[in-house]
This record gives sequence, structure tokens and C-alpha cells, in this order.
Amino acid sequence: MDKRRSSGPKPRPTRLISSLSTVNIVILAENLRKTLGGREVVNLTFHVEPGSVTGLVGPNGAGKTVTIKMISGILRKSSGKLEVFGQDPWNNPRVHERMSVIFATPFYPREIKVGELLRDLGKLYGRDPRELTEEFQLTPHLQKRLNQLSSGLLQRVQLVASLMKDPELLVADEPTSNLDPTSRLQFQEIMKRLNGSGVTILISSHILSELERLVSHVIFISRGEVTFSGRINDVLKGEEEIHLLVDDPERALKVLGKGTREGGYLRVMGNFREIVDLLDDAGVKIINSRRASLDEVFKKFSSA
Amino acid sequence: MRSSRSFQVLSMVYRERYREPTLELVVPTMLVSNVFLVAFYERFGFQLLGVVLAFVPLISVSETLAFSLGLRNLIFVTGEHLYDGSMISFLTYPLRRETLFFFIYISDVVLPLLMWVFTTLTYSMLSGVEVPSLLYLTFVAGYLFSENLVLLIILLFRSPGVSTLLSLFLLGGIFVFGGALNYYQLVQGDVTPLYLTSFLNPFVLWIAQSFGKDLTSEIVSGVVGELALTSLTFLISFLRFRVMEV
Repeated sequence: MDKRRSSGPKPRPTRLISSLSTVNIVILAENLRKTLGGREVVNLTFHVEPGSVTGLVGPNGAGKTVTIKMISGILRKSSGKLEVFGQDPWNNPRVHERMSVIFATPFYPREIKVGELLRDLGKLYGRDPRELTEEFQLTPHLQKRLNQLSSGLLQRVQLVASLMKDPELLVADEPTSNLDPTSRLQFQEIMKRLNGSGVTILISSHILSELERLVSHVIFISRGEVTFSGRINDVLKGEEEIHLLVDDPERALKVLGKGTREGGYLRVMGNFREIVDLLDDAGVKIINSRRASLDEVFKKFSSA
Repeated sequence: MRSSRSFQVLSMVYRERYREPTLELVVPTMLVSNVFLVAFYERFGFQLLGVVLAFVPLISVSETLAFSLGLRNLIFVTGEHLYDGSMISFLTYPLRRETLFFFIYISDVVLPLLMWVFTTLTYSMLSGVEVPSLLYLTFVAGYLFSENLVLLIILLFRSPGVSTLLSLFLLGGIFVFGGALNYYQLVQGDVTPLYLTSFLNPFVLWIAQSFGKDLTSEIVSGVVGELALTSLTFLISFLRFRVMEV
């Protein structure tokens, strides 16, 4: 049996996904292609599990925004399969009822007042906006037009607007790229809270350190293709690059038998736990340590 | 529930275009500006010419207002939404694109026309000046033709600036040069080509008719031509909107 399997053709990732129960998949993309201006921009196969926070990571021009726009039903796929809640999202109100989208820059008419927008959306989705308005401290800004708001406030308005429909899926395209660090942290907390209440989140961001603290799954895309898709634990496990600040670097290098000095730090490749144990046993004190982050993995998968 | 949601979106689309004091200003002005109807009617000895002149676009303030309102809606609201991407917010509301297109069309194009019909009919009734129904239909067909052409231009170019310039040249050219062409044919005395060209500016034919020439069938041909072109541009715009990517 095993022999036959190994001698046969290697199964394509699409087949693997097809064998999964699509009932338990919020977003399913199989050989999803989009051609713009005669050029194929993306050709992707991935899925997003319910209850997960999935990071969509890739360099500029990798196809993140195009992917998110296809999932949002704003762009139409050229070929392949794309399902959100088991249905094609293009021109599909049933999908839009269950999904909210957040963009780096909100796409609301800028002349409209905050209060007016939230009241309209409240009526549309049958929800009183006052509770969310209070919670997100937008009450003092209700009379302002959207074009009078700062980026942070605008993003907060967009977030409240997207929560009006009680979404099961929140898709966010670089939502924090225009925010200051405090607003970013607030945004992260909100995302965590939403995910805690069962909302599935697909988020693309360039700020990988931020994603690292938020996502449970990650999809790396490079040049329109998926280079890695899976749990963040899987992408960060195994031999990794570790940066250590120790009290006796010379001794540490001798003990480890590998590594290089980089300023005050040592750069070592290996298993984090094993390296720490070795240094502990030798009595070398670790003052600070930094493990491989999504940044390093990003570099790896971006050049894949 | 679904129809209620659709109604909410229609209400949002409507309110964006007709914020206070748009209606409060436009409707009374439209009504009052029909004063030209009685003024011209009396000036020309209660002849058809008075009514026709009062109905010529640009002379008629009421028609100009309806036309401008429609153009403003199409170019500076819908066109702006397509240009700056804010159409995305409407496309992510839980309703089909086809429904959204009809809501936008009703708010942008149909409502200004209904305002004009309502105010003009009211004024005509109150003043006792009888307006031939074909004259009403001539403006309605011309209005729909122009607005649908502008809608198509907006959906194709997605830029308020480009759409404004293109609409200005295209509609202005059709009205002015079409009128000149019709006038030239009338002066030459050869009315047969008017069946083909009257749609360019049927008001020239109306003026000739009010001087005693019977050009009803040529005018009807022009109106039918305009309505046919209206249907064509509407259909293309609808199909374009259905597959439009923002």
C-alpha cells in the first residue's frame, strides 16, 4: 500500500483540501486565479478554519489585497474555486450578511456624518448603534463628517460599522497600516476579543510582530502563490535563529560550539530549549533573548 | 426582512443624494420656474409656439434643474463613489448588484424626472395652459437619453472629471449640431432625412411645427429613436455594473 502510494503521482494540495469537510471551512480557495491586465496575479490554494485568526502575509505585490477583494466579492475570480461559508462570494448577499470587511482606508462616502452612517447601518442590520458607539468612544464624534476624522478614528468607525452586522467572519486588509502604536494595540485587543467570542478573522498586515501576537494560523504568499499555509506553531517550530544577550559571550560560544557575535548579541541557529539548557548548565547567564519571529520566516517564504 | 433591508439601502442611497435642503430648494424652484409657460404662452398670442419655447431645454429653468440634478447625482455622487472606491461600501451591503443598480438609477435619474413631471403637470393644470402630451414625451425621452448616456460614460471611465468633460462635449455637440442639422434640412425643404436625425434635437421640429408645418411623425420617430438609444445605453450600463470590479 505504502509502496503504491510512493510510486504514484504526488497528490496536489487541492486534492488534500477537497478531502476536508467543507462544512468546517470558512474560506476555501482551490487553484483560485485572478488575471488583471492579461497577467495572472494570483493562483492560490488555501483554507481558513472556523474560529481561527489567520494572517495573510506576503511582500508588496504578492496578491494579498486582490485575494481579500475576491473574498469580499468586490473582485471576481478568473478561474478556480472560491467559497466563503460554502458559497461563491461574488454578488452574494447571503455571504455579505455573515461577513464584514475592513480596509486600510475605509471606503465610505466621506461627506457622511459618523452618526448618520452608524444610524443607517443600525437600521440596515437591526441593531442599536449606541452601545457600540459608547464602547468605542465615538459618541463625541457623531456630528463630524468622515473626512474630518483622523486615521485612528476613521478606522474605529470602520470597525464599529463592521461589527454592526454581528459578523461570523471578519476580513481585514492591512487594517492598522495607518494607525499609531496605541491605536494598533487597541485594535489588536479588539481582534482578540472578537475572536474570543467566536468570530473567524482573516487579516493581512505588513506589521508582522503584531500579527505574531494575534494569529493562530498563517498563509504566506509570494508572487501570487501560497508558499506556506498552516498553524503558526508549525512555522516557528524546529531549528530557528536565536539572538542572545549573555553575561559571558566568549564562554557561551565555546559551550555552544557554534554561533557568531552580532554587536552585544550572539546569533545562534538551533533549538531554543536545547540552547538555553546548555547555557544554564554551563552557568552562563542569559540577560535577554529573541527567538525567530515572523519577520525571519517572512524573509524565507517571500524568497521561496 | 430582506425587503426591509433593501428598503434601508434605498433610503441610504436616496438620502445621500437629497440631503436637506436639496428638495426644499429644487421642488419649489421647479414649480415656480414654470412661469415661462404662461409668460411665453401669452407673449405669442396663446399659440403652440409659446408652449414649445417654454419647453426648450436651457430656456426652461424647470427642465434645466431636473437635468442638472440628474447630472449632479450621476457624476458627483455615483461617479465620485466609483472614483474614490466608496462604491465598495455599497457593494458589501447584503443585496444583489442588480438591486443596487436599480436603487442608484431610481435615485439618480428617475426621481429628478418625476419631480419635473409632477411640478410641470401641476403648473400646467393650475394655469390652464394645455401642453401636448407628445411635448412632454419629447423632453422625457431627451432627458432619459442624455442621463443614460452620462451613466454609461461614468461606468466606463469612472472619473467625475473625464465624465463631466465628455458629457459636456457629447451632449452639447448632439444638441447644438443636431439642432443645426435639423434646421438646415427644414430650410432645404427636404423633411425625409428628419426621420433619422430628429432624435438629435426634436425641439427644432417642434418650433417648425408651431409655425404650421406638420412634423408629428418625424417628431415621433425622433422620440422613438431616443427611447431606443436610452434602452440600449441602460442595458449596457446595467450589464457593466453587474460585472464591475472596484
